[in-house]
Amino acid sequence: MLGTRDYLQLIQIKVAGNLKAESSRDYLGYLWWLIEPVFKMLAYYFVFGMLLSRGTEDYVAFLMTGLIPWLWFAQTVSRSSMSIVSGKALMMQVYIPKIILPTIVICQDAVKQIIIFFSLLLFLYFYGISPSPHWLSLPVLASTQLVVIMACSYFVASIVPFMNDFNYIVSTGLQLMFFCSGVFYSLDIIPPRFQQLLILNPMASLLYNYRRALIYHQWPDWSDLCLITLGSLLAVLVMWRVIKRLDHIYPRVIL
Amino acid sequence: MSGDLLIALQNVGVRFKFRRSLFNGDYFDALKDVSCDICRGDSLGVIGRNGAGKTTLLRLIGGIIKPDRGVIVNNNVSTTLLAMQIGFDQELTGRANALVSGMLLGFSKKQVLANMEKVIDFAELHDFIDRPTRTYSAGMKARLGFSIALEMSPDVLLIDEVLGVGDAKFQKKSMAVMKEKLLSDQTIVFVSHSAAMVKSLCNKAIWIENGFTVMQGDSAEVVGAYEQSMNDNG
Repeated sequence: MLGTRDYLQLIQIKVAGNLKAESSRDYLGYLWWLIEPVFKMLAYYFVFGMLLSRGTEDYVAFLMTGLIPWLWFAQTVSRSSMSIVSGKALMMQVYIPKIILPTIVICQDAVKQIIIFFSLLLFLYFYGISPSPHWLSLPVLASTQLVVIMACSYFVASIVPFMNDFNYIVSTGLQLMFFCSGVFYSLDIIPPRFQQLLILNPMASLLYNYRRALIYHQWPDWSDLCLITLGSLLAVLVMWRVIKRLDHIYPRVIL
Repeated sequence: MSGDLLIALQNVGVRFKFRRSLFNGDYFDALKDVSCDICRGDSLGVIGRNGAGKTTLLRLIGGIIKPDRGVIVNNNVSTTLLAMQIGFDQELTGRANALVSGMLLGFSKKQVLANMEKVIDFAELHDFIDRPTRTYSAGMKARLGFSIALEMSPDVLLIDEVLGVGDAKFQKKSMAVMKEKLLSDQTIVFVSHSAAMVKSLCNKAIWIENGFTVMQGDSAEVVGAYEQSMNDNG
């Protein structure tokens, strides 16, 4: 019988193996993790910076600092949504705690993100933004975001097996959230009464704080981060219990 | 022949619910009332027609699903389905897959690593073990899956038909090992269409039909009655 420690080791082996496999599949390997956000940035820069001329003086840095955390969030949540369903063959053969399946996705993307964040700092430095002690708050910001990602990923992963249709809602929801998170615009250009509303979206608040720390040489708003962490942590604990309760139900509904 | 009681099923029933759309459901009773005991050293054969509930029974014993009615008493024993290529990921190397597979079968990392050389030897994959599984031929994958399943045996091994894997030479080798396993003191539950196979390999048998136990006991007797009924019904 396996214990928690064995399952943690299993997750670790899977994550390491997947990361290695991911990089060896394409010619450019690990480089894609960096090329992808740059391509997206160029697209947004073209539309919003040039065509709509909404760009401010450091618009490229502004876009990159928003896009990189956003892509982390969006990719992990959408990959997690199918994680339990695609473990179908496996769960029909042995008992495994289903929580492992989305956890592997979350860990894999989190490890990748460390490298991406380092590259972001390098990019900002060469772009001309001088490093400041405020950059030291990046690990805190990233940990806060990780908890948000866990809460959302476990939530979608637990529902999709019961309702495949929910997958469409996830992608639409992510798109709506993208527009409401201020990835390509600053929150102060929208009417104040909506600003209050948008800041309820943890990603909007997080992106705002990433920019404060990385571009504008200010400390993030600690009380914001605390609230987000506590709220998400609570959600994660609830989702753990829910998925545990459904452990033996999933093999029946995924047919 | 029989030792202490490992797993007992008492009047178990399993109902699958299907949802057609939001408000429209349907159900199907895969198992209605089945009881049986599995003791150490037993080799229990499960026979019955297609759709009799054999595979569902195996999944219940394996702890994959829980019954809707009745109880399963598991005296802290590990059970796994003898499954080929469990948890295999095309992109991982053979070695990583073997490790993951072995752990999913209920062993610690240390135990799997200790058996790794034996697994590789049996699968005859020395040159390929550190390459991604996607570069393997179907036969090579099957061989690796089979050797892991064989080397890493749980307390109770559940077998859903014996699959022929690999080329003729490997099949012969794997059949021999499988037979040895079935006849040894390894506790097994063996599901098969082939009554003859159950008769020759198992000491006990249970015959289920439409979710009910028709007969259970000594394998020769149960298989005899089963064959009789098959002949009578044409």
